Amino acid sequence: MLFRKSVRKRWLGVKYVVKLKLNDKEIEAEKGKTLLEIALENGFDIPHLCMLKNLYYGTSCRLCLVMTSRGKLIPSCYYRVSGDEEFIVDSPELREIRRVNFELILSYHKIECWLCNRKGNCKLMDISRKLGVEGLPVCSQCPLAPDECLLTKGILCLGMITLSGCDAECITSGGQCWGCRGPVTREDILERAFRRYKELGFDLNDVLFRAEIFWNSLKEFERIREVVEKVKGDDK
Amino acid sequence: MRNISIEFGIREVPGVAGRLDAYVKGSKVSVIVNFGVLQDPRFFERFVYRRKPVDVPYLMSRICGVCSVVHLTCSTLAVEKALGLKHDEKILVVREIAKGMEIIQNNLVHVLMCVSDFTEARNVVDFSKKYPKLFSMMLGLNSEVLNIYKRIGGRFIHTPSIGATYSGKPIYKAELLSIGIKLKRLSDQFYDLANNLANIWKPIIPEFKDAAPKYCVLGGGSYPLFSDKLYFSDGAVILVEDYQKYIEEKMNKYSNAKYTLYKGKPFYTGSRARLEAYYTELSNKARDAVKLLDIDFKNPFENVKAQLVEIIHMSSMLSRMALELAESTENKISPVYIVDSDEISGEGVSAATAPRGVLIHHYKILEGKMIYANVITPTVMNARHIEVNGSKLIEELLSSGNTDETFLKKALSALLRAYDPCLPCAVH
Repeated sequence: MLFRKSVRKRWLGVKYVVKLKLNDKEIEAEKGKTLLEIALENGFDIPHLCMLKNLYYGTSCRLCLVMTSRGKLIPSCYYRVSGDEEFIVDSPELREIRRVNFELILSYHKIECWLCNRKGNCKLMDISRKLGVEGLPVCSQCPLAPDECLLTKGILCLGMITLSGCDAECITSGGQCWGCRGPVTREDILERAFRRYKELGFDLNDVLFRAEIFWNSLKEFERIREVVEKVKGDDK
Repeated sequence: MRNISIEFGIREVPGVAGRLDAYVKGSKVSVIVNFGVLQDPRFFERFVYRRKPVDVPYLMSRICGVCSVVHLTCSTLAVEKALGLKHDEKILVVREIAKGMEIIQNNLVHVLMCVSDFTEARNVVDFSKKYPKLFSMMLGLNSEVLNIYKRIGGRFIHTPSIGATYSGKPIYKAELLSIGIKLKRLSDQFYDLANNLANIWKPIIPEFKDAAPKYCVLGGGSYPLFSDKLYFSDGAVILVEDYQKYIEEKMNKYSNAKYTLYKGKPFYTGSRARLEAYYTELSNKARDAVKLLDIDFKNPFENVKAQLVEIIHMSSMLSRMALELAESTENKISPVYIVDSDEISGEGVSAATAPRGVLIHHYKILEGKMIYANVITPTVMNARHIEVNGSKLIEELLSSGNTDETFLKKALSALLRAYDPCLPCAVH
């Protein structure tokens, strides 16, 4: 025989099928596909940030980690299935690991959603919601482009310093944010936001006065006042 | 003749929004009924003090989750008057449609909450078992109304999109057309509902007349939802700016809500008053419904029937308004905004038709800061009238030999519910 059986089958368009068990769900998948692709096709929602199909499989974000039957963690975007195997693709333990990894990514991200053209269509926002990571401001959800921002029209909006994720009509319709979900916790975001308020000509006392409506009884409010004082002190 | 003396209280009257206690003491000759609103006072008028005018409508809309649209729109109008702002007529019509939708929804829910007062059902759950089709019809209509509302205001509770500063979403012509068509269809369904309810209507007290017959509605126009005038049934038409000359607000020791008097006497407001004042302006179908339900406008218990008829009229009126607005709109109605200024001073009073009656918002602004706010809600207007009518009701029942305390309590609770008191509004 001139060629091996497998090569002949490939030429003839025959695909090899392997049997996989993902979280007790038995499925058949094409050999050679990545585990992430297979899981997504079968309805498992694995967060992933860095993988670009057919372009980049660098396993940089480490969000798509899955667990083998031996308890080893592997990046599913890189792992190509070759035989019958079992994986855990979603469990509380995995979600916690992914959450920590995502928080690490987010801590290096210079969050200035109010100036970002991706706002309203932000993957970081989607993943943070899925993993229960809070830290992005409401601007990440706002459908208005940066040049249409209400703040640039002189209308006070607390979106820059309020936690996103409420999905409320006021935000999704492009209206004002009143801060009812509470302040963002990261000080660097607050600082940048208050600097932006100042740049746009808002009196920071007015911003605090508006924020008082919902935040006056919060412990964090004292910290926010300190941030405002710091931003005010930059001029001196 | 045997001398009868009674004394009893009703703790937390069921079927009303909020905590309301009633206390009755007296004899056959004279009975005192106390309308005690024991919900905690919330001081909204105080905490808008020194705030920027643009913040005020949003804060005021939080007075009530059930009727937040009317507080938002009425407050916005008052602030705009104080700041001297005027908008396109279309914006006002959009607000009217939103507010009208709120009246429909509130009235419909209230009719459902009161079913024990006019049917054989003991309560809403019992009603759902005895008349399952009617019950699911009412729930279906309610959810349809809410769905239509979403197209205009985004969400029903604490709506963000109607007002001056909060409207982020433009309203498109296609949406207005859809709203108009759906409301027209709903109007027919509401008539069917009234027809079905008329067949099972059995009031507790069929013959009862108001102790104080004066009422107050908005004046000017045909069935106005916003107006600069107040109309009283004695023929007086006053400018809303002069309301303090005619309407006095007072406090009772036993209630956290104020009560109001017109020329020293109690008066009522609400659907029954509106229907009586604007009977000739009602749609044909609504007039048919008045005859079908055989409404006696002088009987306070009939307010529930009036609410049902008002739903029919309001849906056809709003349908017409939405279709006319769609016709005059090219593509969309864009949102409007107020931008703050520290230099503006002024005073503004506005009145609006709330689901339960006339609502007044009054503000004074000095150098861009709110220095005075006063809100008079319909429940506050009705408070004294409820007491007077309650006394008369108990007196009449005692005179006719009804001394059973359970029945007296049931009758008084039904009377209180018929006014549809909104207690969070009352203790604003």
